[in-house]
Amino acid sequence: MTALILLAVLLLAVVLVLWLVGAGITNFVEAVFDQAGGAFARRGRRRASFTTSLRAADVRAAVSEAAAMLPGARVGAEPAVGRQVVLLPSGGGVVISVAMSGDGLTRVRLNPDGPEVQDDALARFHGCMLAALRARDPQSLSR
Amino acid sequence: MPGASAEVVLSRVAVGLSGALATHGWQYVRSRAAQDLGGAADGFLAGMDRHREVISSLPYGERVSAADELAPSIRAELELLDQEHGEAIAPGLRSLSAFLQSREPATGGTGRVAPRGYSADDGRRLPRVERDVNQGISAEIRADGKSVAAACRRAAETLGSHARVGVGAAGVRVEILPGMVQALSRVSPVVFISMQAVADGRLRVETRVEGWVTSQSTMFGIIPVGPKTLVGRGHYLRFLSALETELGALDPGAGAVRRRGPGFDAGRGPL
Repeated sequence: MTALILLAVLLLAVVLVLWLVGAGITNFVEAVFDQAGGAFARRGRRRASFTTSLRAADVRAAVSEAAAMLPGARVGAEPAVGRQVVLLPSGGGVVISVAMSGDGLTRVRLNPDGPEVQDDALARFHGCMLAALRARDPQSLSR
Repeated sequence: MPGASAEVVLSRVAVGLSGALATHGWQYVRSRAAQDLGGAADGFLAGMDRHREVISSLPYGERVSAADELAPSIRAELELLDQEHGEAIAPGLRSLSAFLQSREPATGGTGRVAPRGYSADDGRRLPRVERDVNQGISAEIRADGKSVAAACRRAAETLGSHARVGVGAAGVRVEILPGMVQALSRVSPVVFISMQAVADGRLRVETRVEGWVTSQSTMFGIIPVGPKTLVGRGHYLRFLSALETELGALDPGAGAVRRRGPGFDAGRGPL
């Protein structure tokens, strides 16, 4: 009987120690995940992608209209064929690349240009860009 | 019940009662309504009980949207009740309205995880799940309710079949289904997007997470290992980003759309 009680107490102690170790690991992993999770959420918000039936020339015009909607923003020099840059008032810019997708639609991707670009300014430009695309093609979608 | 405030009281009671129909707290709310409204509302409450029976028979994930859709008809019934009984029922309606408003959670709701010694107010680190569900969007834009509802629908469509949208009188409810098979998926989180008219034809849009589920790995089935995570977190963050863009597109010139929550409010510069 005494042996059984001792065994139960021992088992309980082992479970308790493992539970405490588990809780310690939890706290450590949580801190690591917090960092990674925050970075993931930010990265997702800094990029945008739209699909539209507009041709590349119309998308270029829509980019200029979107820049005009955001006070202080302006279209910069084209860094490469098929790409445009919009310089944001808070610093940095957005690179807009246009590509045809397999379904015949045009895919417009917006990526931040430079680490100094503010997330809020980017998000606001994404809204302006979608509005400019919808003004020409109401079926344009955010993806 | 005369005056413009009567409209607000009736709407608030209708939305509060319809919201309570889908919750475990219905009997408590019902007894409070019976107490405030008295015998004049017996027929009305019997009708609400029938609504409750129908909603209880629905799958769990569909109850909230079904209850929300009842709000306009409940409001119409309340208007009739108000016309029939006038001043006799007005104080009860006001009292019930105040009670229902006090039940509305400021943030979060069912499924809220234990605070574990962290606080949102004093700036200490929040558990990861709390940080996630406290993220949201606040916007003030020049647009009508229909356009905002359509924007919410389009933002939810970016998740494909992983989102279910219900448009009600008080706002839009988006239920995220993160599982691979939607029929078997848990619903987490449930996001409510409220709309409120403010001055100059502008609309204030706020999102809040109403309910959520957490998951956590365990060793030997009992020892927790790793952080608790929000089920549907990735889908929820994608939805918020899409909604931010959609709302921004509704009023690109003058609208103010802000992402809020831990990590988003600190160090914000002017737009």
